[in-house]
Amino acid sequence: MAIFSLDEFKSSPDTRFSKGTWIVEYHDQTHVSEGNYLGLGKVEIEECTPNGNCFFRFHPCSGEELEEDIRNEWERDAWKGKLDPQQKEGQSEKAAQTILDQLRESMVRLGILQPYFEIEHPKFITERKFAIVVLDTNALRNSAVYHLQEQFRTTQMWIIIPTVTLMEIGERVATIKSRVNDKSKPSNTALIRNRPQVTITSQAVKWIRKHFPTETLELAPELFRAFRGYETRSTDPYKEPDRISINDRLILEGIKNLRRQRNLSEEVYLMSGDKDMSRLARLEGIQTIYPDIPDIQGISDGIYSIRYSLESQTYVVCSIHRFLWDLTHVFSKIRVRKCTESFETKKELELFYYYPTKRVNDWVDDKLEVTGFGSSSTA
Amino acid sequence: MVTIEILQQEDTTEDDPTIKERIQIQGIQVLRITPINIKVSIPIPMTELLDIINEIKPIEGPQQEELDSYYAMQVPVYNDGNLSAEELDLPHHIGLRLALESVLQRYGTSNDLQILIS
Repeated sequence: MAIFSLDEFKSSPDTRFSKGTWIVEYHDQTHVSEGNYLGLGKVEIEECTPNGNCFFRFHPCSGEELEEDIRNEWERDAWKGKLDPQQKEGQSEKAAQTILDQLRESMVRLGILQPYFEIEHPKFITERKFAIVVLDTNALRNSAVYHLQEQFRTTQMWIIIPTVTLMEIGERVATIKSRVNDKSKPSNTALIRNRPQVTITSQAVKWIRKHFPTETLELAPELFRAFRGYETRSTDPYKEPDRISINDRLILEGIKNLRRQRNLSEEVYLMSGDKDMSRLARLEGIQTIYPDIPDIQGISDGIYSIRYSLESQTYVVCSIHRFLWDLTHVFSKIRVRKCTESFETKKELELFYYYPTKRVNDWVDDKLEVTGFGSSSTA
Repeated sequence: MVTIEILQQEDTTEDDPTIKERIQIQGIQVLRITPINIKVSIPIPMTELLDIINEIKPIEGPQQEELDSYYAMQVPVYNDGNLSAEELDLPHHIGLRLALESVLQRYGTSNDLQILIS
């Protein structure tokens, strides 16, 4: 067992992968019984270079497979009597969809699945030397700005993160904490959707600050009172709280203020992963960028860990280590094991986000607990 | 280095085709990839590209002593979220296949185009 940063995880001789098929599973203590794992898909490692770079294909489980796995989990003793059959059916379907949505967002973040950008006036971006892009929480989480810069190489993106977006991250932390303590609810599968808002967005902010000129969009003090957190007003955990429209409004007003104060107009874009917000913003004369993410179920050959970008004329690569790293931020504990017939040669590795000894610096430095493979062995 | 050119022949003229796009990839050597090694500098109709992509493989199974030539060395890539290029070794045939797949995705519906690999 070791505590690793991503760079340490990638470079450690104890965590080298080899050619073959690997099964990827997750465990989340909020809705999976102890010691059990639910499947996410298979990783087919096709090539490994002598210096340890692996090229792989990820084959996600189908919606039906995920649903079946979840239903089987709820047949276990831990869940007896907590769900009636009708609830099981409905909840398992929602849970499977949540998992698939998070997997495809993860592939976009990793750069290996390209979103299609719906842009009101794309030529404005290509014709300009710079564009100011305001990100909402969804856009921050799925890191689509990476693809935007890749597709519009000649335009310098200036990123603006609204204070509301950062405040929402804080609110999500509180929501997750409150729900984590109540482990007996199958509906906690909805936490898979909420967790990346915390674990991923904080890292995304760091990444954006490293790669782009970035500033924060402040709210006028009188508007702070309008900010609505994630206090629960709905009994359905899959339903977004009704604060959304208020916080969206705060972002839109912030953009209008920004344009007025700096005498800007066409250079300012709102990037939002929320269709409704994009539509509303356009009605109010704000230009939008909506990253439409393809459905991973429709990709029959699996998602390859490397692609060639015609826009940047460069390959975009995701390492197996970063792939597992990102999944751990979403699903909290990831196990990857090699398909092999012999028990003796069984190889497996586990990554855990919420390890008990995690200190403040470990959160900031984005460290995970990694178990498996054994010292100086290669899988 | 491999150069991929997307060519368009104007219907009304006898002139040479115009180059719609030119892609150059450092490190990749076409002579190490079958069936591309016999199609070098021969215009290939876009309609045939998918079949060719499906047949792409290394010239022959890499022997240990040939391992060095199996990989294209120091190909520029955006690795793990970086927006500046790093250099990585990758198999010649995988590199070319991915580039051609991207070409097919963008131009695959245009039947009047040809592709020239050199």
